[in-house]
Amino acid sequence: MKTRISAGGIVSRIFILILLILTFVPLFVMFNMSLKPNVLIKTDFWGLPTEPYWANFVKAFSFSFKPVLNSLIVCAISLVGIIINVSLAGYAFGCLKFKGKTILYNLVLAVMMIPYTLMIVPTYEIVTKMNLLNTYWSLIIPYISGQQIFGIIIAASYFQGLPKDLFEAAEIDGANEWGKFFIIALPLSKPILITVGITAVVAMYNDFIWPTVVLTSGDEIKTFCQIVFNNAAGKGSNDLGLIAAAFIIGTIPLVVSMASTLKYYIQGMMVGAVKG
Amino acid sequence: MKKKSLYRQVIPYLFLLPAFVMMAVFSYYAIGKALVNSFMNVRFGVIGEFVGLENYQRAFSDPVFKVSFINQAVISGFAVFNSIFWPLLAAELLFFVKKGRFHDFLRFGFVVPMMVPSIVIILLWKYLYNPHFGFNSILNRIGLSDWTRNWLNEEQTALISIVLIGFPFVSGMYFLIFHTGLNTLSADINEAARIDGAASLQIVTKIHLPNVKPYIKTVFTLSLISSLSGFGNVFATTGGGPGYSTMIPALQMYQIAFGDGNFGYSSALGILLMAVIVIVTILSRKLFGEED
Repeated sequence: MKTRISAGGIVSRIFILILLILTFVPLFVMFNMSLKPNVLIKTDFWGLPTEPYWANFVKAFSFSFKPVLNSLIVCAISLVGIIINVSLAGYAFGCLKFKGKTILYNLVLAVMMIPYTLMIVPTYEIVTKMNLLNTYWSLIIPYISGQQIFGIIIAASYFQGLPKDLFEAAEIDGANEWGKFFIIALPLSKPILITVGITAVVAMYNDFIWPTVVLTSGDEIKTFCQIVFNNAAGKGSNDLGLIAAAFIIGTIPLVVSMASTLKYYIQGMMVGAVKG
Repeated sequence: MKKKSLYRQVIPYLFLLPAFVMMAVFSYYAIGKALVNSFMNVRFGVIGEFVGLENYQRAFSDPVFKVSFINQAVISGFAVFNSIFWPLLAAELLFFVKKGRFHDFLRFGFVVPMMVPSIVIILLWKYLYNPHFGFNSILNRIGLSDWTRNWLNEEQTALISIVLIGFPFVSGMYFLIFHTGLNTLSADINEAARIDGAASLQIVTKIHLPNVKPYIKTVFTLSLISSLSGFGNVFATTGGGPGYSTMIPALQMYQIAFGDGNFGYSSALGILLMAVIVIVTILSRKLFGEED
């Protein structure tokens, strides 16, 4: 059966297309700026470049390489820590029986309620006392601690849903708790760990407030989003074409990591939304 | 039955150890520290003396704090409305686009901007608000030069300009939540309505809206909390200015801590902000919860 598209249907299609186009205005502006020399951006902001000005990308690459690398190093090391903590604690809450489980689980849940903003000052004091200011670790350690919370909660409910007979079978085969964890639970938990990982990576890569607090000495250790933010505050280059090209370069790692895991990322946010 | 060996009893706690060691320091000790700070005179981490409720009293008599809360109310009010209305509108419109390539293209399109760092999007908006180009070049081109403003640097326009960052507010998570919500409604309900001859608008108001309510509730709470606790977009665009016309509590707290070095007063503001967030969360749950 062929359904006819009503007049209302056409209007709604046009309307949603307009919404989509408006959504893309900032991204259009970014690409357009990146392909024009600075002078042209200021005199003819909306006009398309007659000839792409690739020099922006060549120049932007040299100064955005290090910040992007810094961000990636921080994200990678934090990610390892988060995955270790989340898989272990998630397994304990999901699959093991022990005294005080409910209380300990509620202690994790309670941390979810604390707004990030309130933690900035005390965390800064702790990091200062640990002598970590202006090192990667001043980001990595608090990131692991902060990002693991949500991960533990969703991983616990995932582990709880794993079929019990798998573990019983392994027990009969003589596996101990560690064996059950490494041989059975861990391989099965790949999807949930990807979800936890990508959600954390996106949050860490995007953060510019915490790096601004703890990385204050030199530019060589600063993260990509921090450099972008510093630029907003008027530090660094004024060449808009260069800046836009750097935006695109710094977006690539996020696009690459999200494009391959988008399904998991969306799943994670959905679960987070329902739990929140 | 054999009693578990001590080692086997301890194992679960070994699994929890790494996570809890970190939480002990960066969550529980930190929140305790914030609470203690709020009753002390602490400057740049150096503890002075116990000052009782002085920091809290100061907050309530601080004119900037009052302005901050009013600005925050405006920003959060719009943020909640925009986070519900526009993504729900887009999800509804998409619902009436027949499944197929165009449908998938639209859905993918609204997801794409999520992959761009948020600070990049904020900064691009800052360029759009630039006094010399961006929106102003459009106004100049169409002969409305009188309407051009220094959007983020004039008291009359700064707050509303911040509120409008992200227009049309569709991209990302809230859109996907509503999209999922509408698609989990059973196909039969929609089909039955169509056969009854219900027009699209009736399907939306009579069937969709009541059923999508739990998702509206979720987005309401999420967007409210994130707008109350986040300050990245104000920080990166106006820094609270001009004057205090766009100051919000979270940013004020940050500036008092790292600008003035007054960790004590800053922590008191933080505790007050957290109290507001908790109260608002509970109220919003009550508000929606009664009809569940």
